[in-house]
Amino acid sequence: MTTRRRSLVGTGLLALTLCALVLSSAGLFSQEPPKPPAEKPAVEAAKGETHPPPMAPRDQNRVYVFLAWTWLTIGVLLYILRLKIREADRVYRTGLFRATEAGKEPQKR
Amino acid sequence: MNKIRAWINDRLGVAELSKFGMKKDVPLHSHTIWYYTGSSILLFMGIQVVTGVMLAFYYNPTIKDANASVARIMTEIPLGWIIRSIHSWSATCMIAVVIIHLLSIAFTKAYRAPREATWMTGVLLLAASLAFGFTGYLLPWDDLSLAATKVGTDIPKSIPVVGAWVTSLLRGGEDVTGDTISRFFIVHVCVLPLAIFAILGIHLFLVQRHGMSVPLKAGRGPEKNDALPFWPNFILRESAVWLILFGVLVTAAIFLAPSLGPAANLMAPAPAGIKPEWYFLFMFQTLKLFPSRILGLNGELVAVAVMGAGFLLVLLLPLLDDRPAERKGRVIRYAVYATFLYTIALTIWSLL
Repeated sequence: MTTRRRSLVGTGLLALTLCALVLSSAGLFSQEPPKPPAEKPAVEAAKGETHPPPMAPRDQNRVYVFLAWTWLTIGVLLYILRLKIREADRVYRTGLFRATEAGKEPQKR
Repeated sequence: MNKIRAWINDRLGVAELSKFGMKKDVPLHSHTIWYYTGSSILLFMGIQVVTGVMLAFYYNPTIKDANASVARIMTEIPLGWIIRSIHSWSATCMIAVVIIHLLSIAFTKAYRAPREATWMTGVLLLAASLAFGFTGYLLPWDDLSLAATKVGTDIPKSIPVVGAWVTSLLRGGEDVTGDTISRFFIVHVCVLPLAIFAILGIHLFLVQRHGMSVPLKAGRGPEKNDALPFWPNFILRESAVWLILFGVLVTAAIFLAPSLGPAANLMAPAPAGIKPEWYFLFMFQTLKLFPSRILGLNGELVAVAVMGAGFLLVLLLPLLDDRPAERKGRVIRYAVYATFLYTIALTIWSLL
């Protein structure tokens, strides 16, 4: 598989992953709208310790799915970056850019 | 597309920047990994800015609403708890990476001429990061943050002549009150960001001006002249590091989200076993170690003087160790090791 084709496959994979991430975690962003806070006395919220994550199992699952998709996206991006790094290193080793800039022969490394 | 690119390039000179990046080299040797810590700080700083702005939409810096607004962010605002957790964890990560970055510079002696000013601005950035941590700690306005701020703002009081004035300036009065919250909030979201961006600008300019330092050992070996272009080779590697760090940060933020204590009561006594954030623990333990009186002097004053002198020594390290690059400066290296071990030991002791 050529580098160009691999880049295309990688980009396609990334697009698919991102779509899936957005679709699967859409529920996270569509929680019920917050109630107006003005009516709530400050003392009431301050009585006990407030724990952060959503307690309902369904909300927790959504968060874990979101995390799984985040890591999958990172994995795909890392794969694409690996290809890019290899390509950049190959170009650098051949000395193409520097040779055109300095008007001299590509350096041998 | 090409027209748009040409239009942007005419206005911003992006092609020149790209050429500059390709000309700039990053030395390639066994210590190259330390170069990634500098950019990681920028990543965490960026995350801090974005999440900080999001939190500021809902946060109310008043004695009545501060705690309740944070509770609302955590319980009612969609994804509010994750944003707060990411903000908190990226602050911790940023300070940790700043410390690692400074230690790597100290151990590789990269602070020597002509990079003295780069080191000094780096130390000032660490001080600004710690100030961010200190001012941000009060904002949730729970028992713990109130007690920690009381202890923290009490420390300058022992300094003769100006001490009481400094404490009053920090608190906005005699005691920690609602005025302290608004004062800390403004410092946290306006004054410190302006200061940190100014210092960071100078720091980055100096890094560009003097280039990246090559450690003595690496400069002597067979790999002496090896280098990597900054653009795109190094940037791509940095992006990979950023992605991994971002993933770790989000994971930590989800599984280890900070909770919020009950609203602070100004009349209540300080809760038992209060401790500051991990990066202040060694100072906290040092203060506890000093007796109340030393040779007729106030023990706290002596502790503050010792810590102030320690900070000055770190800041002025390049002026103390200004030997030519060929000479290693073993004494300074051992002093850096000793300070590092002391900090770690006292932090662990304080945690026990």
